[in-house]
Amino acid sequence: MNRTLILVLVLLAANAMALDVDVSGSNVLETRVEKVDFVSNPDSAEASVVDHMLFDVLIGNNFTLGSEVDVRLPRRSKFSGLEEYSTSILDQFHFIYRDDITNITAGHYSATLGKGLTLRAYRDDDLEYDHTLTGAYARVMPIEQIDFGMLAGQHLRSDEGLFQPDNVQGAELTVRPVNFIYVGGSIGNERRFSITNYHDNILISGGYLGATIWKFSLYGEVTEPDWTVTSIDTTTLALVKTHEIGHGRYGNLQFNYPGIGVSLQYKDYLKENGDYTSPPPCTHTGSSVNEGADEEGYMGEVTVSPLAGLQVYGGYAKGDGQALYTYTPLPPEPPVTYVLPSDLTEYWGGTQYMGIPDLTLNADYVHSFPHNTTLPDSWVEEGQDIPSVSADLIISKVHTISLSTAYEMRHDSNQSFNAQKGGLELTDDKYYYLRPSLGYSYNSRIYVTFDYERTNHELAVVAGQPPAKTQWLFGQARYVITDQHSITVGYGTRRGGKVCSGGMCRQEAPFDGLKVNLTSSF
Amino acid sequence: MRIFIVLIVVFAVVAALADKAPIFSLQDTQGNKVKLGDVLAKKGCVLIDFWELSCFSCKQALPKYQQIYNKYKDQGLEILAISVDSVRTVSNVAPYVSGIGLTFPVLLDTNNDVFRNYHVEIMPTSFLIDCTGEIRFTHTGYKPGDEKEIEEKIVEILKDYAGQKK
Repeated sequence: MNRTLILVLVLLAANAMALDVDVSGSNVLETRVEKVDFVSNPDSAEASVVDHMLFDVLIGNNFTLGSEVDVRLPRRSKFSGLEEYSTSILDQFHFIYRDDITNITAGHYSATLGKGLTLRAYRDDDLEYDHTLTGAYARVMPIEQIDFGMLAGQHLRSDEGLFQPDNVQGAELTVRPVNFIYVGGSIGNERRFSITNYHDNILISGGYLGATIWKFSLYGEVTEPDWTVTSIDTTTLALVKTHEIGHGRYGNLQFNYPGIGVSLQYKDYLKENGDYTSPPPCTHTGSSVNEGADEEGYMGEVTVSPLAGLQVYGGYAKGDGQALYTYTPLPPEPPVTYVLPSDLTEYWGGTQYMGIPDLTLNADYVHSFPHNTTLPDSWVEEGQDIPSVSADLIISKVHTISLSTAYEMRHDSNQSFNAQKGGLELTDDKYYYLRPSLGYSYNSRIYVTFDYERTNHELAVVAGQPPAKTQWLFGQARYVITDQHSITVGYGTRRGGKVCSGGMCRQEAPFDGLKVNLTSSF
Repeated sequence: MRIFIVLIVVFAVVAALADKAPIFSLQDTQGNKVKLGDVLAKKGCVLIDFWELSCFSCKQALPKYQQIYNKYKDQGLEILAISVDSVRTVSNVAPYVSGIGLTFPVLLDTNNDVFRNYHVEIMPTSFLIDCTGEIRFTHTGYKPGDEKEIEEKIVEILKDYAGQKK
C-alpha cells in the first residue's frame, strides 16, 4: 500500500512540477460467475472480480517508475462464510534508468544470460510460473562492440516462511570483435534453501560463440554447472554435502534465405535443471524430455515459400534422457539406484495458402510422443497426434467468416505395478478430442465465436461427484469500443488448455459460467 | 474496496493522457541493433507488431503485413515485428521469417521487456506510431480482413507525414 501511494504521489508531484511525464499502461477487469462443482451442492455458483493493472510513469527521457497491480475483491465462501482471499495489490514494482549506454533496473525484473543455460529468471503467466527476481540489474554498452551485464536479486518462494528467499547473482560479457562474429562469457550463481536453514548452491559458468556468414548463422554455447547439495543421511540423520559437476552444450545452425529457412539444433545437458536455468528444449511443442537434468537430442525444421501466397513447413525432433532413482529398502539391505530412460519423438508439418485474395487456408499436423520410465519395468506414454484445418473467408470489406476444426488423437499407455494383483498391469487408452469452431467478424469491431469440443474419453465416475464432461460449448462476443477499450462477454463451458479463438491465443483454465472482461490500454 | 476504487480513478485519470510510444533498442534476426528513435527519425509511420511462433493468428497476420510493407515502404512506412519468443524457441524465429519471405525487420524480445513496456494483453497486438512518436492506433487480435483497417490507418498517418514534409 505504501508503495502504491508513493507511485501516485510521484505522479502528482511530477505533474505539479511540470516535468515531462508520460503515463502508459493497461487494465484488465474481469467479472466471472461460474459454476463450482462442490460435492455437497453440485449446482452452486460463485462470482469473482479481478482487476489487473500495469502502468509505467516515464519521467523526463530516462527514468521510468512502474508497477503491476493485481486487485481481487474479497469473496466470501458460500459454505463457511469466511473471506476466501483478501484484497491483494502490488505484485511488482520497478524503477528503470535508461540511456544510450546504460540500462539499470531496480525492483522486479527478468533476466537471461546466454541462451538460458547459465541463468534465466522469468515469468510465464500462461503456466502460472514466476521466477523473476527482486534486486538490481545493470547493463552497460560503452561502445557498440561491448555489452556487459551484472545482476543480483532474490526470489521469494511461494512457501515463504518455511524457506528463506533464493539468492541469485550473475554477470555476462559479450564482445563483437568484427561485425559478423560475437563471443561471450557468463556466470550465474543460485543459492536456494533445500532444508530450513541449509542451502544448495549451483554455480554455472560458460561461454558462447556466434557467427553470421552469408546466409548462414551459427551459435554454440558450452557451460559447466557445479552443484553443492545438502541432504540428510537417513540412517545417521547427519547433514551430508555432495559436490557434482554437470555440463551444458547447445548448438544451432541456421540457413536464412528469402523463401527458405532451415534450423538445426543440438543439445546435451547434464545437471542443467536449476531453478534459474531454462535451456532450449529443441522441440516443436516446447516439451522437454528431462528438463535439462540429463538429456540429449536434436531438432531440424524447414520453412519454405515455393509459390507466392503458399507457405509449407515441417520438422523432426528427437530427445533421449535418463533419470536416477534410488530405492532404499529396510536395513541391512543396501540402497539400489536405477537408471530410468525416457525419450520424446516429435514430427510436424503444416501449410498456409493465401492464393485467392479473400480466402486463407491452413492445415497443420503435430505428432508428439513422450515415453517415460517411472520405475524399473514401469513406464508411461502420453502421445498425441493433432491434425487441424481452418479456412477464413472474407465475404466483403466488413464481413469475415472463419471455420476451423482440430482432431486430437491421444494415446495414453501405462505399465505399472498393481499391488492388489501382485504384478505388472498394462492400461492402454486411445481417445479423441474434436474441436470445431465457427467465427464471424464485422468491420474489425465485433467478433463472435462459437467453440464446440467433444471427446469419447469417459473418465470413471467418482462417488458423490458429477460425471466428467464429454462435451463443451462456449460462445464469445468481443466488441472493440475504441482503439483502447474492448469488452468481451463469454458464456458456456470450456475444457481449458491453450485456446485460440476470435483471433487471439491464450491459456485458459476449465470454465463453466459467464464472464465479462473489459480490457483497456492507455 | 477503497483501494480498488482509488486505482480505478487513477486509471481513468491517466487514461486521458497522450499515448507516447515507449522507446526501445532490440536486436533483429540478423544481429543488427534497431532503435525505435532512429527509425522514427527516418520514417513517417511505424507499425509495431508483437507476435510469437506458437500464436496461429500472429502467423496469419505476418504475410499480410508484408503485402502492406511492399505497398507503402517507399512512402515512409516501416514495420517492426517484435517476436516475444523466449530463448527456448527464439532460434526458430529467423528461419521461419526468412522461410515465409518477410523483408521487414523482425526484432527479438526474448526477455519480454518491450512487450511489458507496451502493456500488451492480447496476442497479437499492433501499434501504429507516427513520426512524433505518438501511438495513433492500436489493434488487438487478428482475423483475416483486419489488415484492411490497419492499412486505412497507415494511409491516414502517411498523408499527415507527407503534409508535414511539404
